Amino acid sequence: MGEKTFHKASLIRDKAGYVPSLVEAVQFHGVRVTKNDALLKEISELYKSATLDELVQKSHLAARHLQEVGLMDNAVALIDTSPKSKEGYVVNFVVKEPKSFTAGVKAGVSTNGDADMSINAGKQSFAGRGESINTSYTYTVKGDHSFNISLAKPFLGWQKYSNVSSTLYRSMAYLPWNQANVDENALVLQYNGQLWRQRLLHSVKLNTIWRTLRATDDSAFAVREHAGHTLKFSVENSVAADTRDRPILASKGILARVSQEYAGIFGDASFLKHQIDLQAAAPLPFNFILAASVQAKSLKALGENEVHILDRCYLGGQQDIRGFGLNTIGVRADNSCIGGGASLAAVVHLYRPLYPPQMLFAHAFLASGSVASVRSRDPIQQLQDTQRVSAGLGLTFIFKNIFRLELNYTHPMKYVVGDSIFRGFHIGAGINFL
Amino acid sequence: MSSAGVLTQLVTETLSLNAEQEWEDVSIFTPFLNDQALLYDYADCLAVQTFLRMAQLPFNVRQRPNAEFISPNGIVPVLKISKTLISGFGPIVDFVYKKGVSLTSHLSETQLADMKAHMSLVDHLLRHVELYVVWKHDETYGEVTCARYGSVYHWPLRTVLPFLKRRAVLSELRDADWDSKTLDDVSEAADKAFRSLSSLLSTKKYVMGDMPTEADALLFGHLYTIITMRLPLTNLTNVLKRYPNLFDFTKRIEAEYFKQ
Repeated sequence: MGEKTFHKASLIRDKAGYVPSLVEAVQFHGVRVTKNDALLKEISELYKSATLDELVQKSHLAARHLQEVGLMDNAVALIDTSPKSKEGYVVNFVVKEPKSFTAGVKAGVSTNGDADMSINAGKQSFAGRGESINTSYTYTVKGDHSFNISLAKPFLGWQKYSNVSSTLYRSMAYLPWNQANVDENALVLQYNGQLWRQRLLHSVKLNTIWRTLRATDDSAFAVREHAGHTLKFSVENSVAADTRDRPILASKGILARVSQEYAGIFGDASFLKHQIDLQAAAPLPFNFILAASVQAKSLKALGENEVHILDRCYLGGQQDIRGFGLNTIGVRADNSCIGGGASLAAVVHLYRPLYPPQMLFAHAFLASGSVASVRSRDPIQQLQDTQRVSAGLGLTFIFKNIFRLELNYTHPMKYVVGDSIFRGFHIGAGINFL
Repeated sequence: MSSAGVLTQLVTETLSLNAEQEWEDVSIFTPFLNDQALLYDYADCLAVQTFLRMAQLPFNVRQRPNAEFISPNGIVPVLKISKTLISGFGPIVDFVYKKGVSLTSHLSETQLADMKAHMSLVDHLLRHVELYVVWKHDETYGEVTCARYGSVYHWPLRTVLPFLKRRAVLSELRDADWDSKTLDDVSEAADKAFRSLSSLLSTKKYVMGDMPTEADALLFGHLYTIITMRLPLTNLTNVLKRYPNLFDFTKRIEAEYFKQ
C-alpha cells in the first residue's frame, strides 16, 4: 500500500447514500490465529452493500461485532477505493487479536456484597473462532472459597449475539441467614440468545448441582433437617426486554424479565419457581432520576417433600430491602431464617447526579417487601400481612457497569418482632440491585 | 479416648442446661432401617430403642435419609427432645440417667464397673469388627455396603458418596491399626468378644442378673443385627453360633420387647 490518508466516516455522511458500491475485496491485517471461516461468516454481509453509505455503516458494525463476540481485542474498518474500477471498494480491517493468555488478580465484590479477592487466568479465542476459557479462584474476607472454570463459544455470523457456555464450579460458603455451611459442585450449561428479531433477550440454563449442607451448632432444627447431600437438576428459562441505558443504575428505560426454573426430571429437588422482575427509570426536571423496581417470586413443590431450604425464596439486605439483614425477611426458626415459598419486593428510588455526574449520585429510597412461608395456604394474604418497609437517604457510587456501592442511612419503618433490623449508616456493594 | 472425653464433657454441659425439661415429644432420628442403615448403625438404633423400651420411656422413631447429617457429630441415632439433640447410645443413656431414670440403681459399684467394661468391649471391639466387615471386606462393600449407603442418593452420588465414606472409614481403621488385620484376625477378635460376653451372661436371664440394664440393650442391638442382617460373609454368624446362650438371650429380649 502506498501513502494514503484515511478520513472518518462522518466526512461523507449523508453524501454517499446514492453512490453505488461494489465490494471487491475484504482484507484483514493482523490476523495470526483467527480461522478463515470465522472471518468469512463475520463479513460476508458486506458484499451485499449496494451503496457506499450502507458499506460504511456495515463495515463499522462488522468491526464492532468482531470485538463484541471476542474474536478481536480491537478492530478498525478502513474503506479504500479499488484501483481496478470506479465503483469498486476494498475494505481493510486493521485488527488486534486477543492476547494468547491473560491472568490477573483483583479485588471485588461478591454477589452477596462481601469483599473478595480473586485470581483468574484465561485465554480468549483460543481456537481461532471466538471460544474462550476462563478459570478463577475467589476467596472472600469471610472465608468462603470458590473455584470456577468456564468455556464459552459464540455463534458467529452477521449481527449474531448468541453463545453457549459451560461452567464447572466448586464453592464453599457460609450462609449467615441459615447459619449453615454449604459446599456446591456444579455443572451449568447455558445458552444466551435473542428472540423476536433481537428485541428480547433469551437464556436457557441447565443446572446440575451437588450440594452439601452442613449444619452448625447454631443452626435451628428446621435447617438441620435439610442437612446432607442433595442433587439438584434444573432447567431455567428467562426472557427479558431491556431498554435501560445503564443496567447498574438506569437513568431511563425499562427492564421486564420473566423467568422459570423447573427441577424434577432427575435428582432430589422437585419444584417450579417463577420470577418476574420489572424495573423502570425516567429522568425528571433538575436532573433528578426516578426509578422503581418490583420483583415477585413464587415457588411450588412438585413432589410430596417440602422444597429444600437452599431452593427457597429469600429477601432482605442491602441489595433489595435495605435496613434488614441479608436474606432474613420471613419465617424464622430460632435464630435461623428458613426462607419462604413466595416473595414480593418493591423499591422506589430518587437519584440526583453529583460530581462526577456519571459516578456519584445522591440517593433516596423507599423499599418494601415480604416473604410467605413454604407451607402457607394463602400466600397472598400472608404477603400483605407481613409487609416490611424501610426508607433511607445516602450516596450511590457506580463504576462503569461493573460495580455499585451504596452508603445509606437506613430506617426500617415497618417490621415484625424478631427481625434483624439495621438502623443507621450501612454500606451495600454489589452488582444486582433492586 | 480423648474424643470420647470431650464428648462426655459436651453432653454433660448440654445436660446441665436441659435436663430439667419434660420427657415429651421425644423423637429418635435414624437412617432408613430396612434399606439404608449399615450393620453398626442398625445395631445402635436398635439398642437405643430397646433401652428406651426397657426404661418405659415413650418415643417416636423418625427414619430420615440424612440422619447422619442431622446428627451434630455424624453418629446415629439422634435423640431429640425439645431443642436438644443427643447422638449415640452412650450419651443417650447418660442423658436418661440425668433425667432420673436408671436401670442400674440396683447394682453395686463393682457390678457397675464390670458392666461398663463389658459395654466398652461391645462398643470398641465389636464395633471395629463391624466397621471392618462393612467397609474393608471387599465383597461385603461391593454387594451390600455400597448399595445400602448409596440407596438414598441419585446417580452419580450413589457411587461417589460410598466411595468417599469408605476412604474416611478406612483411614479411621488404619489409625486404630485394624487395616492390616486379616479376616481370620477379625473373626478371632469377634470370638474373643463373644466369649467374654457369653461367660458374663452364663445362664442368667439378663447380663447383670434378673433385671434388664443398658448393657442388655446394647448387646441385644448388636447380636440381633449380626444374626439377622444378610451379608455375603458368614464368619461373624458362625462365630456367634458357638455361644448358644447369646442366641437364646437375643430371642428372649426380642420376644419380650418387640413382640406385642
